[in-house]
Amino acid sequence: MKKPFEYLRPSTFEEAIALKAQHKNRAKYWAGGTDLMLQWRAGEVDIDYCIDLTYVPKFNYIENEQDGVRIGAMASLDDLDHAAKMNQLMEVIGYTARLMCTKQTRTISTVGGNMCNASPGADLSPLFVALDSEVTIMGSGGSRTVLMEHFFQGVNETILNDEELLIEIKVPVPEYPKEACYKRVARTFVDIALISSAVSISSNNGVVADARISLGSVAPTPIRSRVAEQKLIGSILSDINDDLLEEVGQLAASDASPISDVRAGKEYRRDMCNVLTRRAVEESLKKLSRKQL
Amino acid sequence: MKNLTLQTGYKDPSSFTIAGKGVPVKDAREKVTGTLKFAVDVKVQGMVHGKILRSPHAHARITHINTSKAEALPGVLGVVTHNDAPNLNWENAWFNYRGKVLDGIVRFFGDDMAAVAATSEEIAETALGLIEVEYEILPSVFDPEEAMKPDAPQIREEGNVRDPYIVEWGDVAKGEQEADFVLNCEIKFASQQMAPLGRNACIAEWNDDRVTMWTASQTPSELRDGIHEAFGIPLSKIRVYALPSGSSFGNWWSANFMMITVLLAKKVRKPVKIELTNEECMATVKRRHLEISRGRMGCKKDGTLTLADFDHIIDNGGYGFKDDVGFFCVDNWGRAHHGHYAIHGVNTNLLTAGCMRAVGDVTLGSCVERLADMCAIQVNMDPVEFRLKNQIKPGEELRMQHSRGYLKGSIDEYLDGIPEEQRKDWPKLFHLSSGSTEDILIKGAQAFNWEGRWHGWGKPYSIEGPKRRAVGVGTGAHVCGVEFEGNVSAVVRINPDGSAKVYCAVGRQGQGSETTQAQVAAEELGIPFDKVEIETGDTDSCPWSHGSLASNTMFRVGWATQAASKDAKRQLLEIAAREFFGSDPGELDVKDGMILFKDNNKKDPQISIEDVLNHFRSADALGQASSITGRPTYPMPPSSAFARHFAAHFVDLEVDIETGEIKLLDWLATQDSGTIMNPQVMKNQMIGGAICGAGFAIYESLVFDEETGRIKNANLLDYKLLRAADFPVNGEVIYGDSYDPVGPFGARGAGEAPAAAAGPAIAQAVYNAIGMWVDMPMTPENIITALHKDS
Amino acid sequence: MTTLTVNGGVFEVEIKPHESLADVLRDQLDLYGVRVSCNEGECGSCTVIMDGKPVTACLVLGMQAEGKEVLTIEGLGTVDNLHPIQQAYIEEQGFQCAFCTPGFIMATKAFLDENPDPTEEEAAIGISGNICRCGAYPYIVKSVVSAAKKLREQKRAN
Repeated sequence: MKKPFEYLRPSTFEEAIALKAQHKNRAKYWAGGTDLMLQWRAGEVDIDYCIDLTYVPKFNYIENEQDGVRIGAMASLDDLDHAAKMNQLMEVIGYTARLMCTKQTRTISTVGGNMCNASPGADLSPLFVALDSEVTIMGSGGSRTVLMEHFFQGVNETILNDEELLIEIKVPVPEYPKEACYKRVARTFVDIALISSAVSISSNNGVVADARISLGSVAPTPIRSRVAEQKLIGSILSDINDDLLEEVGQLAASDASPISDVRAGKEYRRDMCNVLTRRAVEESLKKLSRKQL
Repeated sequence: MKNLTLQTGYKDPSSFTIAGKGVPVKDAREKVTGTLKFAVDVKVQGMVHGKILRSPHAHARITHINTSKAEALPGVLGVVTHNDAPNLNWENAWFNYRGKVLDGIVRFFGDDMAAVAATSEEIAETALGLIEVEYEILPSVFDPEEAMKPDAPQIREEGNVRDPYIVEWGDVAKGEQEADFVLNCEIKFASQQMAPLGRNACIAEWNDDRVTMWTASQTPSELRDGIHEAFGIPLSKIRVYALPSGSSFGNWWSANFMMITVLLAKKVRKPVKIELTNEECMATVKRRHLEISRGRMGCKKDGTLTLADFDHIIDNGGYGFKDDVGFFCVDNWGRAHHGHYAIHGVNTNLLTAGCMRAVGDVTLGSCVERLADMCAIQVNMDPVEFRLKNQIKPGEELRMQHSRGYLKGSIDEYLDGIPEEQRKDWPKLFHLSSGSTEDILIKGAQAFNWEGRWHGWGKPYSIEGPKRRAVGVGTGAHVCGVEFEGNVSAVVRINPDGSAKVYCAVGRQGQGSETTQAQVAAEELGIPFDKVEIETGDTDSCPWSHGSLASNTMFRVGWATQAASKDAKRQLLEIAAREFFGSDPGELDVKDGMILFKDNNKKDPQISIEDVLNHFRSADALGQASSITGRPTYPMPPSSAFARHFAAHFVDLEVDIETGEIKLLDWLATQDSGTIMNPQVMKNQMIGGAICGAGFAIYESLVFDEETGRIKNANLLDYKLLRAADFPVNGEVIYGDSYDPVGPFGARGAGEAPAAAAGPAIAQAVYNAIGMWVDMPMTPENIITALHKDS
Repeated sequence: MTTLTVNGGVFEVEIKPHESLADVLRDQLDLYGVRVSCNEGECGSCTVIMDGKPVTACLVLGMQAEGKEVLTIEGLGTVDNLHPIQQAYIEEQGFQCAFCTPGFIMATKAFLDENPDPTEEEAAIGISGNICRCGAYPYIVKSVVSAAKKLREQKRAN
């Protein structure tokens, strides 16, 4: 049953956190609201207060700094799309953002809101994990930073306590030259990902120095396939052949525990883990070798 | 050429003034400025809001219902339950629905149980939660074949199973014997949803014992009939304003929520508006049937079809009553020497199912197309050639006539009492009068470069890594309106200032009826198009018409509009001849609003209609100048006995054999619909049909919960509709070259054949790309599942 | 009471916190050209332009429009004064039932503001945030490209 709520409009994040600390679970932070609005309409959200964050200025920045790209929580998905030219990793982030929902929704949705909604199928989540992104969280007692990999705890569940607010995402500068790729399968042109694979590969003098393979929609949260990653690490780039790629894909699929739902069956999802991981790895490697030339 | 009816009269297309022209539709400016009003936009002074309480069970009897708490909620004006509803069955068109407004039994998850009227939607919704209901849960059945078994739970008082609808000719056993190959297939079709944009609302207002309704409907007259049946009140006490709808595809004919609105408005004695949410539009009104096709086709080595034998099951859901679907594929592929088609309608405890665009031809039609293709593969014949060889041509027998006692029996009834004199120029009944797939297949194949792009059965024209590209062709046919349940009519009135108005009860769901009917009238009357207006939805002024279903509008309503225009013109010219020209009315004509002699040699002046009627005003003892009202004065030939429209679609697509994703690369839609009354409107119908059919072929299907029959994807997140980027931007159209002998200025029906042709074209292209047939919807997952099964 | 700036006019409206911008515009300002169909941000029928960017008004809280400039179809052009985009849609017949059309036209405006000279493919992708169930897509795409041309010509003329 839909329950009406009251509207609060803080003008700073500190104000917002204070309000949330006051009302705890009877209040929700409301950013773009594209997920919350639908959840509220479906009767899944029971709150007395909505804390509108959209009037807090200056948190929609996307800045390329020495230690990495800093993305303010209130940056929209459309902002991410527009920031694609910033560097090669932002290009993948921008490309991925452009796959999400519609132009109109991307205009409204914030990256912070998208992360906090923690949908198992959100496109950016596995990609941020694959890029070793960090999340800065602020509470009434101060702030802390966690790896994106640890931020997600379950379906629509994050590590945030009942007053904390995500304020920034950082995509760190990689130690070695790094390329990334995001692949997904969907139905029509606008769709939620049925299953996705986000890969990043770093190379040091023609050898894979590090790799991340993060899968989406195959578990309650995005997961890393460490066995698949290990298969790649240490390989000489020019030696990587179809057989190795096939192995990597199979290992990634073996780490997935997908479910069947109204969108897709688990067998299909598992099979696509293999295909998409293979393709994402292949493309990342191609980008690396282009770079090395 | 063309078999012509004297009464209709043939007009050389080169002399058309407005027929055949791609003029902007009459409501174009309203459409692009957002000022066109839809039902959800309508407000009536003093109105209150209604909400419907919906069943949480698939099949149950309400044993106790307590509405007192709901009624006590501040802002609530009243509640209706089955105890308030009349004990009368009402039906909508074509047996798509039969039931009582509320009868205390629920037959599908989400079925109507009760309704609340309140000062706001929110209060009404809150009140729903205060209604207390106790049920006796009844056993339910979701599978149509299970529902056919004698021990299945019975959903309707008349039982679940309808009598089979059978069409047969020749001898099936002979057909088998004559064949060199007999192939069979079985296809289960998922249920497509209209997924209409625009939702709908219904407003009902009682004034004493008369009721007025505003709602979107493709069938205004049928809706008025439904109210009359449901409430037992005279037609004269009912006025329906049928408004334009969003994309309807059959969803908005007459629906039970409209009857509930009437019931609720009567109880609370205030106008009531019930506005459906998108979920209600998708899950509580109607859907395409779940269908199961089992078929065999036999053919000779030279590709001649000897046998077409099909058994087809349709589920009617909770309230549908159909025993047939429009399977005009039986006519299109009727050259098969021997045939048997049987349709079995059966109820299930799922949402009511009924006619959705190109009913039967989308489903059974694509089973026939696949089997025909399988035969073509067997004899190694190009699919275009195979269709040219085996599809009906003008003059040939329509096999549909052979349905026992139904079509032919009804036609006999129709003909009874029409003197021979009035029938002598009619097309030969039970034979295709004009049009076919021949011209469009040839033209289409050429324009598409079929020969260059088709590399043989199961052979993609391009392989690049996991991507396979191939082309396919599919055909579809459908009727141009049917005359059962009542004929269509139209009225045309000429005003004293020389402007005119057409009154015909049709739907406005984007198919341009308000424009094309006005074009017909303007062409016939000789009055400038801009001065011809039209009323399509007011049942007080529009004579009875089936409405816009079964591709009825252009052909049958258009015929009536033309005939009515002729009658109005005759009345006008009689006045003009008598009062001005001193001649025989037959010597006169109207051109561009001016009355003149037909004979160009006569030098007499032209006089405007306005001048004739106004000059006549003071002498007009009978008030003729203001009451010129034309209606058809000669019988309409029974179109279902000779008229069909045809489509042939060519598609180029790519299949990723690792992910199963399909990408449509190119599309050519060809169509034979006689004269194209308005190419701007027609091209939209053809491509629109293609997109509807393509959606069914690749993405769309309703997902029912196994336990409750609840529709799990009654929303647009998970009921996938194509986007602009999913369809080739260069989708092209080509029109066939035929002139219908009966339709207005040679025009025929158009809306449904393209929806039927699209799916088979895609299915064949996929076969050519990956070497196997995949059932619809060909989602990426279904493609991969099929590929894995094979390996 | 909340102040909203819509189509260049300033209005005082009573907004309930949970009310969407679409409902506020329709119910309180009678702007029924803001069409609501899916009410879940999928179909784009409710597209309006807020501070120059396209949004699906069914997902935006009415309160979140305060202090912003909202443009609806009614503010873009009227039957007496059609905007070039509206004119293009008429000429190319980029609609059938037209329930989605105001949303498409607003999305087109926002798209062309960012992409003044698109190819047909780019236009198709650009307006894929909107659904046309009737299936007028190729003609919608042609409308977008034609509108782009008209706007470029208009700009040159000024």
